[in-house]
Order: sequence, then structure tokens, then C-alpha cells
Amino acid sequence: MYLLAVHTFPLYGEYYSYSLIRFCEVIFLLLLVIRTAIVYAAVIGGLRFTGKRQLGELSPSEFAVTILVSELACIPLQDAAVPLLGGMVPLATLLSVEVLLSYISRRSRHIRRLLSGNPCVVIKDGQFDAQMLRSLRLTAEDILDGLRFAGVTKIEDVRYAIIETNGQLSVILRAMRQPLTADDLKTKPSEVGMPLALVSEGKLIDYNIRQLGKSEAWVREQCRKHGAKTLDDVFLLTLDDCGNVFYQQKTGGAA
Amino acid sequence: MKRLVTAVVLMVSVILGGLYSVHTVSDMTSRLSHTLTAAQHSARESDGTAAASLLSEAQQDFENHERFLSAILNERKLDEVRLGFARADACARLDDQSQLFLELTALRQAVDDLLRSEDTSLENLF
Repeated sequence: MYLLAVHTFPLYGEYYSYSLIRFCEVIFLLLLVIRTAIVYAAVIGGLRFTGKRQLGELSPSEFAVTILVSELACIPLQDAAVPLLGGMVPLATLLSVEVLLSYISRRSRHIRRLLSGNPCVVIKDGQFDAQMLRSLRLTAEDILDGLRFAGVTKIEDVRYAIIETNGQLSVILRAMRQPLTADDLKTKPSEVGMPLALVSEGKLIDYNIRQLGKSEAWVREQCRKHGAKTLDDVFLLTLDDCGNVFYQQKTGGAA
Repeated sequence: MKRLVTAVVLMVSVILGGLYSVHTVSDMTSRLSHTLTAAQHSARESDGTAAASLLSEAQQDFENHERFLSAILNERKLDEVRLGFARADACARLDDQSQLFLELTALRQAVDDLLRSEDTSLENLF
């Protein structure tokens, strides 16, 4: 970069030389900013490319990819001498391999087992499986932590406790300890819809309005009904597919 | 399915790109090394004009590929080659054949290092 600047701008005296060096520093910093932006965009794009699986619970292979991606992304940012491709190529390779492996493991149970392992039952009918705990290198206290986290205080209430492939503990209670459901009571509660925001902080969300088959005029009418003079007065207006409206004005208060 | 196809395309592109870069770097460095060896022989036989001409030819060849090399190789390795050319060029201008011979040897070594860093060998793998 300095050589480029020297060729582009001929030097005229010491002051100009000093200015040139400052100019080169600015250009270098600008390059770093651009490189960072490119790497950031590539990591975001890459993780989006691998899909939502990557963002939720991580399986061992996904966890490995996430760790490696964060390390790889740093290399071209820390050392300007390393070409951007030096970080991008491994990034593209890793993310492609991850997508390919997830596709293969979806097709093959053996590959899935190899990559993610199996869920392991650690409590069965209120009894710890000590051998399984040993093989998982877990203690009974670790499982008790997980049970408490799941809101279970009595081990004898547990029908099954399973360590899932992502390391989480799933707890299945005995039938007598299962929470009551509407079905048990033979009642028919009304369905609950999925609320979508139609107006958020004074802004219409056209996509959601179209999804619910409403018009902008209908939304404005709803806002007026709830006492808003303009859309700017609305903090949030939601509507679910059962027709339930939630309205909150910017100054506070819900209807 | 679209995601899978993209992943396959990306993977194939990365592999082909890697092979192309190895091929290009190997091709260019072999050519440069050959020219620089010829320049060394000329310098040893005190034929300054031929050595300078071959050096200039090698430098031109390097500069033609410099942008591509910058995109795939560590800038420090390229800086060694650039410095080598500058030093050898200065010796050629001063008509100092023995020093030119030494500088050309160092330059050829730096060029060979470029190939070594890109070579798909077990040494590089580990």
C-alpha cells in the first residue's frame, strides 16, 4: 500500500512525506474495516447458509464448526499479510462440509450416530443407570442439577431421564405426575392463534398484513378504534389468526 | 435441496480453485526459477547485459502475476521476492556481477519458497 501511494503521489519534502505516511495508515485502517466487513458478512451469510440448526441446539459436528468458524474468521483480520482468501476458503469448506454432512446424516442412521451419538437413558423408572453415567462421565449430582432445572424434585417421579445428543436432559414424568391437560378434563378450550405484529413502533408491517389477509385500511381503522390519531401513536398492534387483537399505545397501556 | 446443491457447487469451486492456484503458482515459479538460474549463469560468467536482461524478464513475469499471487499467498513471502528483485536490480545497475550472483541465488530461493508453500505435499499437510 505504501509503495502504491509512493508511486501515485510523488514526494515533495519532509512534510509531504509525513502526510503520505499518515495517508497510508488511513488507507490501511480503511482496508482493515473493509476486510472486517467482508469477513463479518461471510460468517453471517455462512451461518445463514447452514440453516437454523446452527443457531439452536448444537450437535457435536455443528459445535465444532461454530468454534472453527470463529477462529478462522479472525485470521485475515488479525494479520493483514494473510490474504482474505486464506480465511474465506477454509470457511467455505467447513460450511459446505457441514451442510453435506447434515444431508448425509439425515439419510443415513449410521452416519448420524457416528456424528451425533445416541440419546442415553440415565434414569429409568426412578432408578439411575450407574453404568451409563460412568460411560458418559457424569455424576448423579449432574443429573440432579438437570432435574431441578426441569422442575423435578423427586427422582421417583421420573419415568425416564435422557441425555440428548446435544447434551440436554429430557425428563419424562410418570403418568401420575404428568400435568393435567384439557383432554384429561374432557373440556374443549378455544384455540390460541399465532400473533403477528401489524404495526410496530408506528411502522406498518406489510408482509404480516398480507399474511393475515387484511388491508392497510383495516389496520388504520383498528388503530383509530383503540384511540390512536396516527400510526405514530401506536407502539404495537398484533393480530392472531383467531382474530384476537392486542394494542399498546406508545405512551403505555394495553387494550 | 437448493442448499445442498449450493454446498456441492461451493465445495467443487474451492477444490478447483485450489488446484488452479497450485497449478498457476507452480507453473509461474518454475518459469521464474528457470529464468533466474539462467541469469545466475550469466552473472557467474560476468555477462552483465544478459543477466540484467534475464532478471528484467523474470521481474516482468512476476509483476504480471502479482495481483493473483497477492490474492492467494501470504504478503510477507511476496515481499521477500519483491525485495530480492529490488536488490538484484540494484546490483545489475551497479554492474557488480559477484554481488548480483549472490542476490540472484537468494531471489531464486525466495521464489522456490513460494512453490514450497503452495505445494500439495505431506510436509505442507502436517
